[in-house]
Order: sequence, then C-alpha cells, then structure tokens
Amino acid sequence: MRRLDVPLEILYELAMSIGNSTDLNENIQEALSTYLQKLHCFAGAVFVPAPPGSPEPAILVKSIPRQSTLSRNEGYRAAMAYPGWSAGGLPSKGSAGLDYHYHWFDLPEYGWLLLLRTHQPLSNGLQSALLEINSKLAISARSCSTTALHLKESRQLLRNVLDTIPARVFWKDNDLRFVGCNIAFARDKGLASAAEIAGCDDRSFSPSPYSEKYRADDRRVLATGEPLRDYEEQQTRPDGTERWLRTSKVPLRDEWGAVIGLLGVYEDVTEEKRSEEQIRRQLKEREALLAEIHHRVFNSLSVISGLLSLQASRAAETGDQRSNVDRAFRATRMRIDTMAMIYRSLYRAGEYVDVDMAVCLRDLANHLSHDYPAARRVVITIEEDTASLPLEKAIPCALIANELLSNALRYAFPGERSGTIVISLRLESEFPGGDGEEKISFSVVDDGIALPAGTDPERTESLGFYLVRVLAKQLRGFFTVDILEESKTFCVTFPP
Amino acid sequence: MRISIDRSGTVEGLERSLQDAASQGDVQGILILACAANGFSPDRLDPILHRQKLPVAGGVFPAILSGDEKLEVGTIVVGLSMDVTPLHIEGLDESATDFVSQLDVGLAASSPGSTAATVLVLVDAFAPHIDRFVEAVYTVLGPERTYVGGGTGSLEMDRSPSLLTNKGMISGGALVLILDTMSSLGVSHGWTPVAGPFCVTDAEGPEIRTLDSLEAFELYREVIRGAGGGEITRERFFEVAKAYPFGISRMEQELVVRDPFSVNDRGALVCVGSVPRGAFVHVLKGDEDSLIAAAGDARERSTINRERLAARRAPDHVERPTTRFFFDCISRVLFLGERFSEELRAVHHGSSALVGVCSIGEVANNGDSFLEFYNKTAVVADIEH
Repeated sequence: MRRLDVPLEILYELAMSIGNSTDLNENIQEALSTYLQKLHCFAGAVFVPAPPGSPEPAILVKSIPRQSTLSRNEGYRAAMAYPGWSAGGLPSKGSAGLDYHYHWFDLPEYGWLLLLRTHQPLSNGLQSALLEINSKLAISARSCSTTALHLKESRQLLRNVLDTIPARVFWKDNDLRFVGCNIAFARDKGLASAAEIAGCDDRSFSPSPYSEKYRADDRRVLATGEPLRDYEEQQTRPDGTERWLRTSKVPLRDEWGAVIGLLGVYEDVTEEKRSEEQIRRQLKEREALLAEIHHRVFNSLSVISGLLSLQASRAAETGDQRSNVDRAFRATRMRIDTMAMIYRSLYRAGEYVDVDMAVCLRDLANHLSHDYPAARRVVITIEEDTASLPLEKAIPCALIANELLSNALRYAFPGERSGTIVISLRLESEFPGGDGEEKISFSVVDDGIALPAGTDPERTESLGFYLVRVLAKQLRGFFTVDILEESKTFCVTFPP
Repeated sequence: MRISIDRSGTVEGLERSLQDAASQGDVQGILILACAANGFSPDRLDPILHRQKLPVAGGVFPAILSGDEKLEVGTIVVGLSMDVTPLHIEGLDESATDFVSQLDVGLAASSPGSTAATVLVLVDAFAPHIDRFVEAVYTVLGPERTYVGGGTGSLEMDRSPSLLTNKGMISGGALVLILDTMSSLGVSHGWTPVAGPFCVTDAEGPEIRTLDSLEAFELYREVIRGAGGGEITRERFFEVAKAYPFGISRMEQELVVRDPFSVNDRGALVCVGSVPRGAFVHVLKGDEDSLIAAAGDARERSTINRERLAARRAPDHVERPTTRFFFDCISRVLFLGERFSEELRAVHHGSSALVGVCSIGEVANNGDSFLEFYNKTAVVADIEH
C-alpha cells in the first residue's frame, strides 16, 4: 500500500471541518478556506452546472480570491481552459508555466471543485484521499441547497401569510432599525415594497410627531424584555391623514434568550374608533332627549297638580272645609306629585333607567310632612339599604308608599300621639318557607294606634287600600298586613 | 525610502520627523512605527495627523527595531518613495462588518492598488475578528503579492487606540497599505512539536475551551509537566506558557503558531488569534538557539525569494535597493530576553537598512498561499525602493 505523504491530522481535520454548516454559502466558504489553509493552495473555486439555456455550461458559486481578482492569475486561466465539466475524467490536473498547478475534482451530483497551487501539484495519494472529503462536501452542499430551497419556500409562505393579513407587522434590531415588514406596513410608510424598509428607522420617513414616542416604546421593550400589548396610539400617514392604531410589541430573542430586537404588530382601528365615537355621541343625544321628556312629564304633572290644588282651594273657599271633595283633590294631587317626584329624580340624577328609591321615598316623606300635622310628632325612617327600581316599578311602588304613608300620618297618630314610621324597600333572596327566588319587599311599619275594629286592609273598599292592592297586582305581587299589639306592618312583595 | 528615528518618543519629535519626510520630493506616503511607551494619545496626536497631506499609516507597538537596535521609547518615520494606496478598515470588533465592501470602496479610489505587488497590513492585535479581516484582504487582493505586517497594541492590552491614520488614532480597525513595488518574504519561527496532535473540541474565536474533550488548561498543564516545563499555574501562566505555544498543522508549510497568553475562570486558554474548532494543534517547544536560527532562516528565505524574483526579470533589469522590514513577535523578545539582540543581528545581517517592530501577531504571505495571522513568528521582508 502506498504511504500517504500528508499528516493524518490534516486529513482528519479536513474531513471533520468540511461540510458542517447548514448554510450553503458558509459551507462552501469554509470548505475553500480550509483547503487553502491546510493544503498550501493559493486559490480555490466551486462551480455548479448552469441552468438549461445558459450560455456557459457552469457557473461559479464561490471562489477565494474572488473571481475578478482570480481571473488575472495565469494558473486560473489555464485551469479554465480545461474545466472540470469538459474533462475526460476527474480528478484531473494540469499546469501553467513552471509555477502554477491546477486540480479539478468532482463534487458528485453537485458540481466541481478547483484547487490551485504553486511549486508542485498535489500528490496522487492526497488527491485520492480528497475524493472522500469532496463527497462529504457535495452531500452537504446538496443538503444545503435542498434546505435552502425549503427555507425559501417556507419564507415565501410566511411572506404570503404576512402580506395577506390586514394587520401590519414589522421587526427591528436592537438599534431600532427596521429589519423587515409586511407589505401593509410598507404601504403605511409610503414604500412601494417591503424590501425597502431594511435599514430604515422611524426617523427615515416623512416627519411625524409620533416617531420619538414609537422609539421610546421600542427602547422600553428592549430594555425590560417585557412586551407591550394592545395599546392605542396615533400615526400620521405620508398623505398627512391621522390614523388610530392598536399596537403590540414583543421582544425577539436568540437561542440563548438574549434580546436581539422586537416584533411589532398593529391594526388600524380608526373606523372602530369613529363608530365608538358616533355611538357615544348618539347615546348622549338620546340621554338628553330622555331627560327632556322626563322634565316635560314632571312639568305637566306639576301643572295638573297645581290645577287640582287650585280646585281644592276653591272647594275650601265655598265653606265646605275638609269636605270629601277637598280630600279627594288633595289625595289625587299627592298621587300626581308622587309620580312627578319620580320623573324629577330621574332627570336630576341623569339616570334614565333606574330610580334611586331612597331619594324618592325621602322626598315623598318630606312632601307629606307639610300636609299632615302628625308628621311633627312622628319620626319617619327610610332604611339604609333601600333598593333602586326600574321606572315601570318605581311609579307604582312610590304610589303605594304615598297611600300607606298618608294613611299612617292621617290615622295612626291622633291627638298628641307620637311614634315612628319605618319604610324599607329591599331585595330579598330568601324567604322563610319561600321558593328561593329573589323578591322585592316594600314595607311601611308604624307603631301608631290600632286600625278601627273590623277593618281588614286586604279587603276593605277604602280607596287607599284598594289602590295599594291594585298597584301590588300591577307589580305582579301581593299585599299583606301584619298587625301586632305594638305595631302594624303593611307589606307589598313583588318580583324584581 | 527616507528613514528617520526620533529617540525622544515625543509628539514634537514625531512632528519634526513627519515634516522632514513630507519635505522630501520623492516621498509619496508615510509609515510611522511608534513605541507604546511614548504614550501617544489622540488628543495630542490627532491634530498633527489631520494636518498631513500625504497618506499616513502607522501603529503603536511594544518596541520598534532599527538596524541592530531595539527601542522601547521612540518613533521611526519611513518616507515611502513608491506609489501608496492606503485603505482604512473599521469594525474589527463587530461580527457583522463587511470587510470586502470597505476594501472595495478604498480600492475604487486608487489606480495602482489593483496590481501593486507589496501589501503592508497593520491590525489592532486585540480585535476579535482579525481572521475574517485577513481572509477578506486575500479575497480581494489575491495572490502574486507579498503581504507583510503585524498586530499593533501594547503589552498592557488596554485597547487604547494603536493605529495611526490621516483621520487620527483609532482602535478596533486595520490599515492596508498597498505599495507599488516588488518585495520578497521569509517566514520562520523555530518552534517544534513536543506533544500532540490534540483535537480542539470546543473553541470560540481566540479561546480554546477543550482539547480532546478535556478542559484545555488541565490538558495543557499535564503536557507541560510531561515535557519538563514544570508546574504552570493560573497566577504565573504566561511566564511558563511563553515557552510552550500551540502549533496548527498545515501541509508543506511551517506550523501556524498560536500563543496562549492567559487562562480564564472556565479553564479556557486565550490565544492571540483564533483557533478553529475541529483543528488539530501540537504543543510546541523552542529554545533560544532554535529561535535565533529561525530568524536567520527567515532572512535567508527572503534573500532566496528575492533571487528567484531577480531571475525572472529581464536581463537588463537594474537591481534596485531594498529596505529590510522585520516584524518579530514580542513574545519572542520576552522569551529570548538578553539574547534578542542576537536574533536581531541574525536578521539585519549586514543589510544596509532595517526597520521593524516587535508586534503582537504577524501577517505574512509571499503570494503563493492563503494569508495567515501568525504568533511568535519572525517575518522578514525586503522591500525595493
């Protein structure tokens, strides 16, 4: 066996060092550089077959030195006169003058390798040994080409996806320079293609008052490594129009976790913001309209109440004091006033759906105090946890309160008797022995004198209690009276 | 060439030398070789460099050489009498720098650069991407030229600006001076393998982390102990390591020497210049005699190459005078101590003019192989003028 005239570690190093990169360009570059360093060559080049229809049969992938420099060399020109693709068999070698020797090697199913030396050619033993190493380089280069093709396809797919979605996507390096973006973002910046963004930063485009704000946000993401999500900001387009954006920025990290840049995504929410603004404006207009209606209802009821008051005064002037007509007018006026109070509380509070019944009941109690002298001796308490009610329930409930409170002030505290009236309106979820459903319980409790003997409020035909029963029905509830020795409890229970 | 030496090492002395060189009619560019101990700083030197009308290139080195003399304070100014194309390269501290583009920009503005035969390269010795830069220089300028040069800086490794250009003092860069003149080259080091080869199983740039999958420092310590070099410790690492550099094998050529100058906390050996993962390295040993002999050998190879060059020329070609440039690694100076003067004499060897530096790494190629960044090596170039 012929003894190899090359240190084995050099061959081993060549075998181990060549064809390890997954990047084709890097792979070929490293291979050529290693060959030149280890084998005392002054130049090397890799060629691949040219695509069909090309004028030349092969194209140069890479060379060291580069082709424009190398083409001046006599050895290279000699090698190109008898290229690997036209040689009778590979490896082949030749020389130019005394100083230059060239070697062509096959890179199976990939291309050809050219190595150039001075002084003397590679030995036959070394040429044979290089065949195996070149096969490894060829396999690696083919694999890189396939990987590069797949990578290209994947990138194209990703590019298509990025260019199809309506969101704008961009990514920047640690120096806040754009590295890439999708076409929608490029258009927002006034560029014709996404490729034009590379190397630009936010100050590269037409002056915008928001550039420094964008950069401050970027710096925050890069410094903290924490994303900024779903915040709104503004943008000035190249045509001068102002847009609203909903933006998120997240840090990009390398395989060791170090922050190497950031990815930004935003949607144009200008139309959404406009719709929201329109709805807000319409709502405001409707609220104003509703307030006006409630005000007018209040005014109308006040006018009716005033007319009834005037009519009652006239009846009194005819000498029929405290006549039935007078009482009827007063009672009716109180009922109208009660309804007016509800509307007033609505437009005063600026709340057009629910009525704060605590306020309403307090107003009612104050109002009735002026009409009934007993009110000076009686303490009227509105319990603190009084519920709010929707308008359609608030009016009958307030009318019930008017009837029960009027009755109590009129009849329960005759002469100089003093006492208390407690009003409560609460939402109760549990009734002893009940069905467990929520109910509203409205009650008026007084510690005045007992009802006249034989009076059953749940059946009596008196207008007040009759109205209470009718209104309780309207509320889909029921009216109960609980009479104890020291107090009477009038209660209307109805669903919320 | 006009050579002037300022032994004071002052800014004023340099300025006088520059004025003197610039006033010579045939001088087309200026090379400055300065000692680190001069303490040149950008605030004092930049205004002077900015004022120079001729192309200026230079470096700060641990020591400079003139004839048989090594100076640790002082400045040599060489007035270059041939056409000079200076290329100023930046970004050797950054991994993404495109050196080829920078070289192209410089070359586009020059006429002789494309064919001139001698290339002087000065590079910041502690920049991390020297290898990529050196490869780019060769990719652009190619073979059939003589490349010679070395790493600038001080032994304090403080990364203060060590390159001198018309733009001022810079760091993290390189200077390529293309000289339109012929030259010959000799490279030799005198180190021989005592152990190995060991596979560099993990490395990053100039840092060898593991050898044969073992912690690099542990293996290195065992090898030195076995070679009779005594005990090497982290504390007195370079004291011992300067006698046991690494050598990377190449076919038909000198080993490329890598000088381990420190060991880090993780047991990795840090060298001047990178060592690729997957490379095989030998541990080398030399003695004072072998190193001095190698320096003489480098001079002799340059002489032989010069004779070959002469043989190719037309019979009526008139021999031109040469100046000997000597880039000798500072670690050889540290190793040889008092006997460095013998090495210098072996290279000077009666030549009329010798200028040089004690560099931190050397660049050399006589045009027939890939360009390399060496350590602990003697590089001799005879440049015509």
